[in-house]
Amino acid sequence: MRPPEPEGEVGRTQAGAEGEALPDLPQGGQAQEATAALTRGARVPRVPGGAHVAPASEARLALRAIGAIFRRDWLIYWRYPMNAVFWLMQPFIWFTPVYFMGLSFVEGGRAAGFEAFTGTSDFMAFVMLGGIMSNYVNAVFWSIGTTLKNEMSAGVLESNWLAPVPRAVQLVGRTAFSLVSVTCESIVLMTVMRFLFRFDLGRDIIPALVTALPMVVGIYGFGFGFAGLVLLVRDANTMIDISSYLVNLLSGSTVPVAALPRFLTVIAMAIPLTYGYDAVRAILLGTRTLLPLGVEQLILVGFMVVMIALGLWAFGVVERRCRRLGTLSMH
Amino acid sequence: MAVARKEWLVTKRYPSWILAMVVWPILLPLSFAFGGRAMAGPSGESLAVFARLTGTVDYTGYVAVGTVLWLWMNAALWDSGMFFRQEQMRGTLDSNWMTPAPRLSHLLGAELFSLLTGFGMTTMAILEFRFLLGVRVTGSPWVLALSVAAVLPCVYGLSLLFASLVVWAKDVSTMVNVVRGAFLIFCGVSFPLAVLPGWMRAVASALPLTYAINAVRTAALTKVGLGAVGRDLAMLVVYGCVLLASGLAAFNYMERQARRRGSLSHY
Repeated sequence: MRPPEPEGEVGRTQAGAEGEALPDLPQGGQAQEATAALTRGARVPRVPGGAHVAPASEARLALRAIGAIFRRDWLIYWRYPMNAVFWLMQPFIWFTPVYFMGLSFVEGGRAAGFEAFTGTSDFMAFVMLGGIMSNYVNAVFWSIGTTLKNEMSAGVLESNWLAPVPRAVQLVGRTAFSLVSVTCESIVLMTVMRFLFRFDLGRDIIPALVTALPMVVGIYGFGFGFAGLVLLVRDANTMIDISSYLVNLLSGSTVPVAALPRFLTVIAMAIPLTYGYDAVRAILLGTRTLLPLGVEQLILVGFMVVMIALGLWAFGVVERRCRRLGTLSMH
Repeated sequence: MAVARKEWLVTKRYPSWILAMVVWPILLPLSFAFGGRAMAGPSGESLAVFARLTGTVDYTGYVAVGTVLWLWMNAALWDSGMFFRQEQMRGTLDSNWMTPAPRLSHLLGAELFSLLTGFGMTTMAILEFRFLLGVRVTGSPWVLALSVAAVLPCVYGLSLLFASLVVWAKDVSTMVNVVRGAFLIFCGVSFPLAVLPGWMRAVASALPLTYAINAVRTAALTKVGLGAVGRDLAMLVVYGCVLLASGLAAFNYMERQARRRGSLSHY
C-alpha cells in the first residue's frame, strides 16, 4: 500500500516555479542588508544611511511574506479544482459513518451509553466539535511538514529559503492558507451537517474560542519540531499520518477519553490537546470535564509557551545541521 | 513476476511504506472500535440495541471485519491506481510498454504484488485484533476461507477497472477518495445496514463490498453453515465475473485510445 497522499501528487508546491515573488520588499542595497539581517535573524538590522529597520517594519515584512505565501498556496489550490471539491466532501465521508454507527446504539432518541460516559446524549455534536477542532490541529500539523516535503521534492526549498524572510515566518506562512480553508470548510460543514444530523453546538462561542486559541498556537510548536524531523528523514508522510492520527485518537477528538482502555487513558491524560478538546466541549455542550475547567485552561496556556519554545529550538538545531552538511536539497 | 519483483524493490527502498502496511490495519479500526465502546456505555447500557440490530454484542469484531475488508479494497485501489500514474510521472510508462511483454502483464504483475501485500496486511490485522483487542473468530474456518476467496475477484476486478480509469483521468487521489468514501458510507463497514434510510440501502445493495462484508462477517463471527452466506457468495461470484471482464475490457480500450491519441505519457 502506498502511503496516503493528502495533496494528491507530490511536487506541485513551487514558489519559484509558479512565478511568485515576495512583493514590495526593500530594493537595492537596503534589500541586501535587510536580507542578510533577516536571514541571520537579527532583531534590528542597520541599513544604508544609518536608519534602523524597526521591529514594526520587521513585522510588516513578515506579514507581507505570509501574504505572498498565502497567495501562492491559493493559486496552487485552485489549480487543482477536483482537490477543492474533495476537501469539501472529505468531512462528510468521515462523519456520516460515525452518525450511523451512533444510531445503531440509540433507542428512543437517546444514546444512554454515550451519555453515561460524557454527560451528553448528543453524540453527533460531540464528534463534530472534536472533528472541527482536529481539522485546525491537522491544518497546522500537516501543512508545515507536508509543504516542506513538497518543496524538497520539487527542488525549490533552497531557493525559497534564500528569500529575505526568517525561516519561522516561512513556516507560519505555510499554515495561513490551511487555516483559512479549514475555517471555510468548517462553516460549510457545520451548516450542512446541522441541517442533516440536527445537533446543537450551544451559544458560548467566545469563551470556547478563547480556550481553544492557546491549543492551536501550541500546535505550531509541534509543527516547527515536525518540520525539523522532515528535514532530517525527508520522507515523513507516514510519520505525519500516524502521529497525527494517534494524537487525535488519544486526545479524544472523536471518542471520549473515558471510553479508551485504561492504559491508553493514562497516555491521553499526558497529551495537552486532551484538555483543549475537553474544555471546549464542556463550555459548548456541558459535558463533564476530566479536570476542573480552570486547571485545563491553565494547562493549555503552559502548553502553548513550552511547545513554541521547544519547537523553535528543535527546528533551529536541525536546520543548522542541514546547512552544515548541505543536505537541504536531498530527498 | 519481474514487475512484482520491481514493485517489491521500490517498496523496500522506502521503509516508511512498509511501516504503513503494518500499522494502519490496526490503527484505523481502533477509532471505530473505541467509538463503539463509547456508544455502548461503561456498563454496556446501549449494547442490547446494537445486538438487536446485528445479532452480536461483539462490536469490536463487527467493526474489525468491516474495516479490514475496506482497508484491503482501499489498498488495492491505491496500488493499481498509483502503478500507472507513477510510471507516467517518472516517464517510464512508454519505455516499459515498448518491451516485448504483453501490456496486460505489466498490470497483472502489479496486481500480484498488491495481492501479496494485501494478504500480508490482512494477516497482520487478524493477529493484531486477536492479541491486542481479543477478537475471536468463532465461525467455521472453511466457510470463512471460501468467503474470502469469493471476495478476491471483486477486489482485483475493480482495481483493474480503476487502473485504466486513472490513466484516462490522470488523477488518483480524488478518484480513490470518492470510491473508498462511497464504500465507507454505504456498505456497512462499521454499522448495520438496518439504520440506513431506504434509498441508501438500495445503493448499498448495488455495491459488491456490501456482500463481501456481510459474508465474511457472518462467516467469522457466527457459527453458521455455508447456507447462511450462500446468497452473498453467489452475488460476489457474479460481481467478480462482471468486474474482471469490465476491467480487462477497460484496459484494452484505454490502451487503444492512448496509442491512437499519443497520450500515454501525458500528466
